[in-house]
Amino acid sequence: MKLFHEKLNIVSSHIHSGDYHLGFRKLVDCVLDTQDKAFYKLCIDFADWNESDLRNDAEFVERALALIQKLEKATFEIKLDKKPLLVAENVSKVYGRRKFRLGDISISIHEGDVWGLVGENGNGKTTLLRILAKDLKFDQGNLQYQIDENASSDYDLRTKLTYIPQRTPKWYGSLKTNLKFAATHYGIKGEENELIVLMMIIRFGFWKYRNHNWDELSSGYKMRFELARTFLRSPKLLLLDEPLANLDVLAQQLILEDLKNLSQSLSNPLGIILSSQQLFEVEKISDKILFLKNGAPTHLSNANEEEEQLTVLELDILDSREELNAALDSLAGHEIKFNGGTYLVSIPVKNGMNQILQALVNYKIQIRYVRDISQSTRRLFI
Amino acid sequence: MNKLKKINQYLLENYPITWHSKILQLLVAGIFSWIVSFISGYLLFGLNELKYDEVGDFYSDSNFVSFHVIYCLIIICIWAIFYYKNNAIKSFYPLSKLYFVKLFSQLFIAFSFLVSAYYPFTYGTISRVRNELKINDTEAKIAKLNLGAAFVLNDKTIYKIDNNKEIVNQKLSSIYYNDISNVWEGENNYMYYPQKRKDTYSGLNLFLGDFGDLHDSLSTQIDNYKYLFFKTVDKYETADSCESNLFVTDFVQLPNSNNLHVYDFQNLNPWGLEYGTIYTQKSNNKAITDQILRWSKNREFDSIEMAINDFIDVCREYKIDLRLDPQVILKYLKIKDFHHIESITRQYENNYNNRIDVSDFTYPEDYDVIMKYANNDLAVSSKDNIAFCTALERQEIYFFEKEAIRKLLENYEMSHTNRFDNGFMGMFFLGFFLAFLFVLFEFANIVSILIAIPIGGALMILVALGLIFINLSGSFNYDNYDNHSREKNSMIFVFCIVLAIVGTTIYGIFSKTFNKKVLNVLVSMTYVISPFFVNLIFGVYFVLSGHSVNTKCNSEYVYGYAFFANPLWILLFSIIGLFAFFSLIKKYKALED
Repeated sequence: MKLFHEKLNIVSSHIHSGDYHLGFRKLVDCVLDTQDKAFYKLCIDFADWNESDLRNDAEFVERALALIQKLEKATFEIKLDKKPLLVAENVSKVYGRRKFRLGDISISIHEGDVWGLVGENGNGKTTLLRILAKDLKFDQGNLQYQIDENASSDYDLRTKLTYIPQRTPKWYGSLKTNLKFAATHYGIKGEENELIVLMMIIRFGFWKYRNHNWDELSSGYKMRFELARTFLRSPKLLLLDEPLANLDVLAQQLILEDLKNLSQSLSNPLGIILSSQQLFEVEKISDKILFLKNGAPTHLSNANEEEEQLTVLELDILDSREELNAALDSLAGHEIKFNGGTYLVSIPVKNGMNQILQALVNYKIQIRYVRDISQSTRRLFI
Repeated sequence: MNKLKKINQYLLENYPITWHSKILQLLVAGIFSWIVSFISGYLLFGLNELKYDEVGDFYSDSNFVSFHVIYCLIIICIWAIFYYKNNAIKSFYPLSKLYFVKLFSQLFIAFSFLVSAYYPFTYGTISRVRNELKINDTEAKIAKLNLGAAFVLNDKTIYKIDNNKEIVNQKLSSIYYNDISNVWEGENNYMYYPQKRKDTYSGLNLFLGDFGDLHDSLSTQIDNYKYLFFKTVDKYETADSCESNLFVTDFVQLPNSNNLHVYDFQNLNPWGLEYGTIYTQKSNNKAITDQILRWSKNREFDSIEMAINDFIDVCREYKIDLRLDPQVILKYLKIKDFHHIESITRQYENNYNNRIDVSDFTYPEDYDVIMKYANNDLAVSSKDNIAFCTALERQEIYFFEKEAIRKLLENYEMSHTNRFDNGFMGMFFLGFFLAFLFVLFEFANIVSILIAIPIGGALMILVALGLIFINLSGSFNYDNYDNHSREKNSMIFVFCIVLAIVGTTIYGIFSKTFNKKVLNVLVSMTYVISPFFVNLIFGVYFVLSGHSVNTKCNSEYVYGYAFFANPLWILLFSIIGLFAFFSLIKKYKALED
């Protein structure tokens, strides 16, 4: 239970620091970890109060800490073995009029892993996700799922293999009813059904919208609904196609953070593969990145030793290229490339961002934007 | 309403199929429909309906059927909106093995209940009739009607000839009908030409109604105004021969005179009692006829007048239209000494001082017809007789609403014996169809269904062409025709086509080699076929079981058990076929594109 107590300490720390929203979300994660109806009820009461007009910070802290104190006594089975979920070996598919070829893809996903799938439009990200979701046939290679030993058919397998497409299908009726319907089909019945659905509603932050229908929700909440519905299914492998599209910056951050936290659930860890154009955000939460270019996978880890030693910065300045060149003159082996929008500055030194910035500051270059992309797939884009 | 919501929530949390099928709401709508139907049936079936409609048919005769159809359509549309809000299979939620069986069964029950307003409606009408026509009270009135009716007849259709005491069957074994020369032949002088049979049959129907024992094998010839009726039988010419002729075994002849025989009263077929029910007991009939006989012999005109007055009173109680004058009837019974009732009518028209003016004729064109035959003793041909009687019956000269009495008593009888079962299976078939349709949309892609429709249509045209080819190719071959090979070939051909579609679909699902779009269309088609599949297997069995059984002179073609004779078997086989298809759905849905 040490890991659980560490999580509780983090929650406590967030609450003491005044990060109430973050602390509350993580507290809900801890409650979900326990899989205990009694804690669910306490959490639901707390959430109900938290969303009411009576809420005030002081009482919030008091109630949250009281709940944490109770949670410290909780016991449940923690799954730490990180079982493999999916192994793809040299999977490939040729499709379309132009005979576009995707592959060969070889990946291995374990419980708790988050994979980022990046690449320009039309490079096979969605196709790959659909293949992994068993929604689309592939031509060659091998795909092995180790999700559910009891699955007697492909249909049973697909009940545990959830794929959320970029454009989520419209649903009808109230949000809560849909969640309850999903939960019931997964064997969560009676009182537990109501509790777990409310917990998901709390976890994904649509307490006030729980009786709304599809038309009344924003894109962000629609995505959250899909995630809530998906997590009710206790998925083992979650495949998300562009979940960040159409979301504002804050919503993107929230969803990515939620995904990361939920993937590392102590009681129900899952593997996640998500495709996105938001490179930095995805990289931030992903354990591994798969970059697709013309259908072929490209790993940063494929870079040679010389490239590994580079520091690459993406830079936007108000000054001219000549002045930039002059500023970096003191750095041996530096290279400058301009892609029309930003400069790419590299030096043959590992972790050399400070050196470059120092040189720029010394020369009084006016910096508008800077990011170290030495370990980012953005290098492969530009 | 809160209770209903709670139940709905309970179902959602515990029984997702039941919640999804919305059986609860459909049953509530069904119960409402049943209550409204029962009340409507009770209220709408008034005195007029009692006389002019039938309890068993009133649902379709009244406008209520339109209301019910509209109600069902509205309910089904609203239900469908909610039903399609959630779909477990399209979301790949876990499904029990019997998911579709349960879903279909619930929809089948709910729809069958919803569409079966016929029953409560008809029970409403029956309750009304039972209320209006109580057993003891009505039986006394029926007795009055039966007694009085003997004296107010205006045609002969209610006489039964076969019991007439004066008419004795006479054996005529030597007369037979020659099929080749189309004439009656025999050892004595009677020669009857069968080409006139059709006409005389019509005449007989008009004059005699139910022929009793003589029914179906009756022939007659009008010869010098004599009515002859024959009973015939097919007989082989010799014990070893296979050649048969139609022999006349008996014949009977009506009395020659125009007088009404008291015995004819004894053969009276009382009102509304031609349906073989509890009210047609011979003893019941005899009690009445014995009474009539006694009054006639003893000339008890006061009693007769009272009987006619009772008859009129009962008619008036139920507002049955009539124009009967007891004095007029008695007068002519006296003058003609119980002459035939047709004569009474005629005499009444010719001789009665206050006879109704021509302008009173509802159908003025009938006047000449009636006058023509009124001045002759008998009609010259049965055709003329029909014209005469038809014209006479259409007038309100001597009139009461026979049909109204008949309906009244028929409704009475049906209501007290529950003798109606129209639409019993139809309700289940309609329920089956609706459930079948909505389960299809549960798992199938709408585009695939739309594509499957024209493809299925084209396939049906090809099958039809194939059937035409099979049937035409053997049409001139007597042997083929004789051994029913075309029948077998047609059935096997259809079965093979169906088997090919079903087999291809199953192969496509299990082999995972088919294009998903093609498979979608095949699955839609197979689903539509599935209810017929088991029926078709039994159809093939039925046709193949057909074989000739040779008798002495000919062979008879016999089949095995015909399951199709009972619609319950068809429904059962349809359900089995459909349930078999359901086992494929999960496998099909899991297939990749």
